[in-house]
Amino acid sequence: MQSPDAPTRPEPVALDRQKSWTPNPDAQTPSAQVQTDRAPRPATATSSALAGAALAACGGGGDGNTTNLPTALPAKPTETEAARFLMQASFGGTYAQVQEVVSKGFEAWLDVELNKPWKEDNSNYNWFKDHGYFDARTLNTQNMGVDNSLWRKLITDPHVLRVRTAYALSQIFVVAMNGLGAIIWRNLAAVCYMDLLEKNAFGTYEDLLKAITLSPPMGTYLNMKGSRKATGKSAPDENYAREVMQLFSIGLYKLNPDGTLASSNKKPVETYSQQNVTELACIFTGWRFSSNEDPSKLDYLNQPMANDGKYFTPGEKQFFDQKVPSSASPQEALNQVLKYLANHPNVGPFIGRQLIQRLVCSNPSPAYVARITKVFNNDGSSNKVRGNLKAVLKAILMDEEARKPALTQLNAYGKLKEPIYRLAQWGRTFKANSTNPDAQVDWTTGATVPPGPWDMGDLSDDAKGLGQAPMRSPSVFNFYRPGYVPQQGALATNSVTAPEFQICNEVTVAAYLNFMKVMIEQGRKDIQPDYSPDYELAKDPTALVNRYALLLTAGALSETNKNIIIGAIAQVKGDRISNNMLLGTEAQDRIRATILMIIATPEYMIQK
Amino acid sequence: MHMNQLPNIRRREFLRRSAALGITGAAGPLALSLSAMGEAAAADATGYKALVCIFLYGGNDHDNTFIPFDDASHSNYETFRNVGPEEEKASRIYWEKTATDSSKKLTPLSTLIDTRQYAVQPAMSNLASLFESGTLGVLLNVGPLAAPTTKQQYDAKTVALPPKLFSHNDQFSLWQSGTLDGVEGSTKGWGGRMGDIFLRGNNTENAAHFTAINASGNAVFMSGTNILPYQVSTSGPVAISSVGLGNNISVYGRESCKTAYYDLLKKASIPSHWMEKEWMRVLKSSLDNQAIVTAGINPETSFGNAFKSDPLSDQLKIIARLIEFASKSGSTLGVKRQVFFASLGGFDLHDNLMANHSRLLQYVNDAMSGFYAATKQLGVADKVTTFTASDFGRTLSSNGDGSDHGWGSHHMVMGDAVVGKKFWGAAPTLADNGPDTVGQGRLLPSTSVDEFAAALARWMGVGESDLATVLPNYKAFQVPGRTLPKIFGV
Repeated sequence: MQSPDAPTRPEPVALDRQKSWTPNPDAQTPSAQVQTDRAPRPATATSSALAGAALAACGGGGDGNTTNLPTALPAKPTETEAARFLMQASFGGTYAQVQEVVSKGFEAWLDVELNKPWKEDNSNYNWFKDHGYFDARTLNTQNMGVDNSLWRKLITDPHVLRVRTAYALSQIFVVAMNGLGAIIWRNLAAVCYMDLLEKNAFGTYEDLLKAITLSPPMGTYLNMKGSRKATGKSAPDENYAREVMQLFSIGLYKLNPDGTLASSNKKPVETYSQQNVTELACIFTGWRFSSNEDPSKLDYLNQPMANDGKYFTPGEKQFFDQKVPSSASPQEALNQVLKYLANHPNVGPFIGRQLIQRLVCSNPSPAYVARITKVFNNDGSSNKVRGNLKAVLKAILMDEEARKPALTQLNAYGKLKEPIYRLAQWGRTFKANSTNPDAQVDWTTGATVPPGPWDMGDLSDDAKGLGQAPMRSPSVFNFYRPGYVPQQGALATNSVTAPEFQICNEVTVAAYLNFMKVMIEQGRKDIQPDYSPDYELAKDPTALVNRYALLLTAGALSETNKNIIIGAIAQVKGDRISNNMLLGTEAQDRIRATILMIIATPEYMIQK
Repeated sequence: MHMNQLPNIRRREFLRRSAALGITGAAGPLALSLSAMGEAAAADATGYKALVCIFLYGGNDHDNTFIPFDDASHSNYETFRNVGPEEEKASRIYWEKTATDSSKKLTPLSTLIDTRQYAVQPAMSNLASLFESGTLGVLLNVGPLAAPTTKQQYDAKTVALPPKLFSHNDQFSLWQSGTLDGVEGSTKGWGGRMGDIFLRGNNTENAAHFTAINASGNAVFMSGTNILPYQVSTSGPVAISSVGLGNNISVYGRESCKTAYYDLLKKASIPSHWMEKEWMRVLKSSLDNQAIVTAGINPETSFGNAFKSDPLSDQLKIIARLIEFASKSGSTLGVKRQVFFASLGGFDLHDNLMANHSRLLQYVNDAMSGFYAATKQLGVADKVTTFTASDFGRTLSSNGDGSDHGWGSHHMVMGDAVVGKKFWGAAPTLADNGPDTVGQGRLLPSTSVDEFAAALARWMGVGESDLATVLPNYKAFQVPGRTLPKIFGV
């Protein structure tokens, strides 16, 4: 639970759960779920890793409340367990999707998703092309089509695990709209970067690192594009050289495989020096776009950058204890550096911990991180592949620390759902879609940002939007830091990392509830939910609330809150009519009110 | 009520102070109020004062903000910055001394430090005027240090250095936390700890919430032990719609849902799960404090044309409105000391520095001068001090069209309490690896953030004895021959 980025703070207090764990009297106790932990699952590569490991929760060491649980998972998940799994592997889902997980089981479901190939047809690039955005009028525009296509994928792309993973990767290997001003097709560049992350989400880490390094959006965002060999007092640009180490691969300090800091004489050991940054910067020189930014050849944004050697640092070069021979081409030299970084022992715990944070919980136990590092270092296949992201994702989602229902009761377990997640979960649960998905961008409106289908707009305004929008991180340090500790309360006292709280404040909580209240009732422009499948269910308030508590909170909604909501919607009777306009039928308003009230509860807010 | 936290705070603080004053438990005079104890404490909290931090995220290029202007320095600056391929001369990160075109003409500041002169970009003309009128000064080469550090000590590695130099997130966290280990993950900052000191004299619920107000996203600077930073948007607090029982309130037009939504948000019991609890804390703070602030602030038209509209001006405008509310006599807010935080991002200009830097400095110029004018209108220009801060300075060396991460930097302090038209600190020698630089012209700070912060804290009224609480590492700089920068008249 200690952030690997915070070595010099005092060791966090060990969490004494016997004292600090006071179950919410309103909460569903874990006992019911615990008892449903039935037959042990058949042994598999993954489950054997589970069985051998001591049970240690997100947030710290062993726990007296859970050690008497069986360590194997049930053969078939319950609906609650399936809903919980979909919150981690997707953005939640519909009841049918929950049932699908129940019938397939976690592992089979994962295998299906992990083996679905990337579908180029459904890429952002193709969506731009098909909806009229390949048009010179989109040149130098900041917004056009970006939110449209990204939200379309977050809410409707059937490849849920790939989309969720790419979204997670976009928060580690960050590129953001506000740093793409030097690309004339910057809106397209932003979404092509998300395509690239999707495409590489289930490959190897080294391939992913190579792909992002040479992608035109990253080249622009972190300035490797156009960086030149030293001439006189002009030095190569150091930005990418630094951040590729600090943020995308090895981090600042040497780590143990479990993500804790390795120390020497009780001091953390730096992984690189300013000297190393300068060395890498010299090697990362001479890159440019593969072609001119010619409107007829927009595919350059999907192609790696090119290097004709003119501005590449000549001669033999050094980095760390490695030599790059003068004969090495710019590409070979770059590959040598990236291979070196990808093979650094820090990558497993550094990237693994962050992926856990993005998918499962904010402060994974060292044992959890260590198990993921092991899989990262060697996927267990006959080829002993390092950095096999498929294997890593599967290990993260199948780990006991992700799957044990009882862990959801621990005080530091879970993660705050971030605003993008919340809206995506609503969209997926209630099958939001564009009412006119095949429309073209509408140039006739005269608006600076003419509407196209999926007209979500930029939601990053703190007060009027959600305070967060995809591909719009304020900097390469993402919306929040993996080492962020909230400034108040027990999380602060116990140094519990909870990154998403970095964008949670009095303004953004208010804006979120206000935004969602309208969204739930009216949708947003052409983006509309479909509540009709639940109209029948809405006749029974208890059934409706139970269903939505399952889908939105994986059954975590407290009995008290459930009863408040049931009592309220039971009194919703008949149509709501104003000025001869039907504003809501009984079923519609029951559904809307149930969603609004559930998503305002803390049980919903914390994914556990 | 803030989730039962304040009574505990009060109780704890009361006991702590009682103990500090030698009063033990029940034997202490019950009539002794916390505010009376506040006066007994070292902090002087008479009258109203506010400190405003403007954080320039990304690392401001100080050499192109305060451009070396005397002939020798400028020629030195030119050798580092008027470089790059001939065909891309236009993007060189270099300001000519002799340009006459109004968009390029530099404004030299009349005050010299030793033989050194600095000029500012055309974008900063209002701030140049404020400098000349004595309202603004510049602290040269300030940055995080663990202890006074000479170049010899740096080279010989005989002195502790701050952790994670040149890393954005850690360096801005170090600046804001004011502790040596204050890298990413820190939970307290010197703005908040200063607030804690003043809370001793004024421990009301409002004071805990409204001493540290943030107009630009969570910042560790603002957080103290008892101080709870409060966030506003540029248009003020954001109300959560439909939480209430009045006739004008509706939750999808259904009475029962209105009542239930109110109950869920306003009457919810406090969850035991730490993250759920933190969410509820923020939600409650949002619900409970919004009405107080919204009712107290004047319409934004009250400053006439003082403010332009840009991302930073918008923040300083709401801060001015909050100061107006808090500083007027008999204000219902009841706080005498406030710390505010505003920020502007985009300073990490590895590329295209010339085009982008001027745009950002224009915001800084407009926002700061507008804010000063607003405080004048309010009659509090001597009670409000504004300063800039940033992750770090940048390299003197150019990478063709930008500069890279550095360390020390130059920062401004503005207000009528400031004895301006001055440079504080020492003018660093421009060199790649010279007496004041550690490679590529990165500045080895001559003044530490602790000393800068201490000077500001002293002005706010933090007593000498409380400096160690606000700035735990300040003692490392209390050595013979070192004095705090003389920013203020008192």
